Amino acid sequence: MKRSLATLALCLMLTACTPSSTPPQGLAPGYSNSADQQMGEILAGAHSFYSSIQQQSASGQLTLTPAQKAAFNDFGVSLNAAQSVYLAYHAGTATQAAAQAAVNTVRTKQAALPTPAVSQ
Amino acid sequence: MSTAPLTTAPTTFWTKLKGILPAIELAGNVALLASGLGAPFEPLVASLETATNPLLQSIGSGNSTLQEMPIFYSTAIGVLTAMKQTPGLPAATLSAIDAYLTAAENGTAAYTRAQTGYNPGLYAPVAPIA
Repeated sequence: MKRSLATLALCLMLTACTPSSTPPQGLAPGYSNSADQQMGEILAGAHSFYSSIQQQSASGQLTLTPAQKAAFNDFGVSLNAAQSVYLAYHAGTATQAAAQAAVNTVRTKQAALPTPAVSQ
Repeated sequence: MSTAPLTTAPTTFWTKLKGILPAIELAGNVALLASGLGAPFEPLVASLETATNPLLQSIGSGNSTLQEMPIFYSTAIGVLTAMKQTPGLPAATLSAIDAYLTAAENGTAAYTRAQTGYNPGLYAPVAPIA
């Protein structure tokens, strides 16, 4: 008998933060401002999260349904887009608004990921 | 450089995440019923609620992203780890939990690494899931 036991939505999000026009205390090396760092941290976490699921699926450790695959791939597409815009923002060739919008899309896609359905 | 704040998180996400706890408790109860073990394992369900409630209540409450992200990952890892202790879980269930647990742990590690400095290598394109 099938029963759904696990209902964790492992999602990523970008929440409110207020970047300053001057670099804040504690800015890690290489980042240009707090927004740059925060978006970088969020995308790094999302990247690793997705890659881990992708690799475990490829190796057969994790079996995803077609719907789950579609959702994760949609998330992956948004992640690739956001990473591209973020790198451009960091390099000064894209606006913060564009990077922010792309990161927010990643968060939205990840929030929409299906929960892991398991059987009992 | 714009000084406009970054977009706030949608309430739907927080609502969804905060809604996990009752589902977990229900799942625990379902597992207890299925196992036939019942009462001896009720403390597990209670401990889940005790462990996760403060975290779930704190996120989305105005903390900065830097505070919320570790809370999010640690909550996910804690809940997944506790779920693994549920008696009678089939191998497929444990495998799925382990997979998500590994992903959450890797997400935490990458987030932490990114805090130490900018590294463009962390943003290489990801491959699709076949």
